[in-house]
Amino acid sequence: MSIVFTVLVYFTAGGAIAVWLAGQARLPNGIAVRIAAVIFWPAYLPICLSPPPRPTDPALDGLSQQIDRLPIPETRRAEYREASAKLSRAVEQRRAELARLAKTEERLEALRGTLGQEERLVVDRERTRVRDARVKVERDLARARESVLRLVLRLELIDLEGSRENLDANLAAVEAEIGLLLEARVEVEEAESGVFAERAGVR
Amino acid sequence: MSIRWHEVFKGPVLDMTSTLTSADTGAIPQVRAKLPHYQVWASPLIAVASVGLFALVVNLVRFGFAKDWLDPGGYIVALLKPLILTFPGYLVLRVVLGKKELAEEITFAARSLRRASLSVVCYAPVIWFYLVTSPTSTQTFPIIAFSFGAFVFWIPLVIDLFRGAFKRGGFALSAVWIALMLFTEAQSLLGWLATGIEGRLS
Amino acid sequence: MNIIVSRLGALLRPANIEAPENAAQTLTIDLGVAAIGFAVFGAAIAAGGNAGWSLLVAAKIAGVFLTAFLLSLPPLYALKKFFDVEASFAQIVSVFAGHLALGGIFISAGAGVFLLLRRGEIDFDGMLAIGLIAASVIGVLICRARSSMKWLSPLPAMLAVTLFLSLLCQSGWAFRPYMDPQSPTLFQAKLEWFAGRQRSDLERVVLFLGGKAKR
Repeated sequence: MSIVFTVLVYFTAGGAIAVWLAGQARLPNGIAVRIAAVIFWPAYLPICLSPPPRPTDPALDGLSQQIDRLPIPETRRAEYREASAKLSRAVEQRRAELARLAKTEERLEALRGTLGQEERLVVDRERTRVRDARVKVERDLARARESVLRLVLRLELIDLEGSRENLDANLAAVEAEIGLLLEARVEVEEAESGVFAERAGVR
Repeated sequence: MSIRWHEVFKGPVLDMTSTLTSADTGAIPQVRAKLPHYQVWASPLIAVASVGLFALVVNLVRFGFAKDWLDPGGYIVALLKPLILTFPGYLVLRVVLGKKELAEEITFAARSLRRASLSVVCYAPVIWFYLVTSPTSTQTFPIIAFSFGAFVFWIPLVIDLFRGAFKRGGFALSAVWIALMLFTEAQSLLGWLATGIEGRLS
Repeated sequence: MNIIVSRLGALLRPANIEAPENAAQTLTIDLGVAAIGFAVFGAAIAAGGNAGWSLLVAAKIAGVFLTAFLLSLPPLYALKKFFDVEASFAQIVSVFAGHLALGGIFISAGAGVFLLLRRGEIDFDGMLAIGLIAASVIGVLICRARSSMKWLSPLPAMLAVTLFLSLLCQSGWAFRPYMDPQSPTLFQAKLEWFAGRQRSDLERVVLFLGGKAKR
C-alpha cells in the first residue's frame, strides 16, 4: 500500500508540475519532453525554472576585466567588483524597464482605439508620459554606457602611468564616477515610481 | 556633485542577507552594526519545520506498513534541545571572551542552521524510499531512519560551525562548545530511541 | 535524429562538454539514452526466463539507475548550497544527466562482453554483472575527470559520487531479483541483517546507551 501511495503521489505531483511548466511556457514543446517531465520532474523542475542566460554587455565585461588587472589589495578589488555588479544589475533593470514601457505603450495604443473622445485625451496624456520616460531611460542607458567606457579607458591607462600617487588619485576619481552612476540609477528609480504611481491613480 | 565612496553602499541597494566577509573594508563597517535580517530570526522555525517534516515522512511510511504512529514531537525535541540549551551560553562566551560582534555571530549561526535544515529536508525523499523498500516491514522501531535524520542534520551544522570558527577566530572555544553539543545530542537522541524501543518491546 | 546523434557525439568527447543551450531537450535525450543503455544491459543479464522476464529485467535495471539519479537530486542541492558552488543547480543537473547517459552507453557496450563471458552460474554471473557496472562507473568518472569543465570542486564531487553510489545500492536492492526469478540474489541472505538477530543486538546497544534496561 505504501509503495502504491508513493507512486501515486509522485506521478500526481509530476503531472501537476508538467502542466504548470507548460502553462508558464517554460517546458519545450514535444510529446517526449512532456512525458519525460511527468516521469522525471525532479530533474526538469530546476532546469525549466532556471533563468535564461543574460546577454552580456561588452562595456561592463571590460570594466570587470580592468578591475581584475588593477594592482590593489583584494579587499578593495572585492568592493570594486561589487560596485561593478551593482552597475550591471542597474543596467539590466533599466533595460527591463525599457521593455516594460514599450509594452505599456502598446497596450495604451490598443486601449485608445476602444475609447471615446474624452477618454482618448487621458490615454494620450499617459502615452506621452510613458514615451518621455522611455526617452529618459534610453538617454540614461546611453550616458551610463559612455561613462563605463570612459572608466574602462581610464583604468586601462592607470597601469601605463605607473606611480602610486597617480594610481590612488585615479582610483578616487573612478570611485566618484561609479558613485555618480549608481546615484543616477536611484534618481531614475524615484522618477519611474512617480510615473507609475500617477498612472495607477489615473486608472 | 561628488559622492563619497562609502555612500555608494548605503540604502536599499545593499543586500543584508549576503554573506559578510571577514575582510575589514572601510566601505561597509556600518553594515555589520545593523541588526540581523528577518531570515535570521526565522531560522529556528525553519529548523523545527524541517526536522518535523523528516519525522512526519518516517511516521507516514511506518503508519502505512505497521499502522503505528511514533512520536514526531519528541524527535524534534531530541534533535534540537542540545542546540537550544547550549547556544545562548556559547553566544555570551564568543562575545565576551572572544570579543566578537553579537549580530555577526547570530547571523552566522542562523545561516549554518538554515543549511542544516535544508540538508535534512533534502534527505527526506531518500529516507522515504529506504523505508518503503527496506526489508523491515515488521513492527521494529526505525532506529536507522531516525539516526540518519540526526546525522544529516548535525553533520552539516557541525562542519559549518567549525568552518566559520576556523575563518573568524575563537576556534578553541567553538571546538569545546561543538564537542559539548555533540555529546549532549548523542545522549538526547539515544535516550529518545531507547524510549521508543522500550515502548515497542512492552 | 540528428540532434540525438550529435548529442551522443558530444557525450563521448568529454573535452568539448559545455552547458547545453536547450537544456530541457538535452536532458530528455540524455535520460532516454541512459534508459535505453541500461535496459539493453538488463535484457542481456536476464537469464532463466522468457522474453517477458528479459523485458522486465531491462526495465528494472533502467529503473535502478534512474531512481538513484532522481533520489540524488535533493541531497545534491543541499550539497551545492553547503559548499557555495557557483554553478547553478540546473547546470549541475544537466551535467549529471550527461554522466548518466555516458554510463548508459558504456554499460550497453558491456552487454556483449557479459553474454560472452557468462557461465550460467548465478553467483559468477552476478559478480560479472556488478563488475561491468563498476567498470562503467569508473569509466564515466575518468572521462569526466579529463574534462576541462569542472562544475564541482573535488570534495563536493566526491561526496556527490558517494551519495549516488549509496542510492544506487539501495535502489538495486529494492528492485531485485534480476538474474533468475526462482533463485535469491547473491547478497540477499547477508543483507537480511536488518530483520534478523543482529537487529535485536542493535536494539540492545541502543537501550544500554540510552540508559534503559532491556526486559
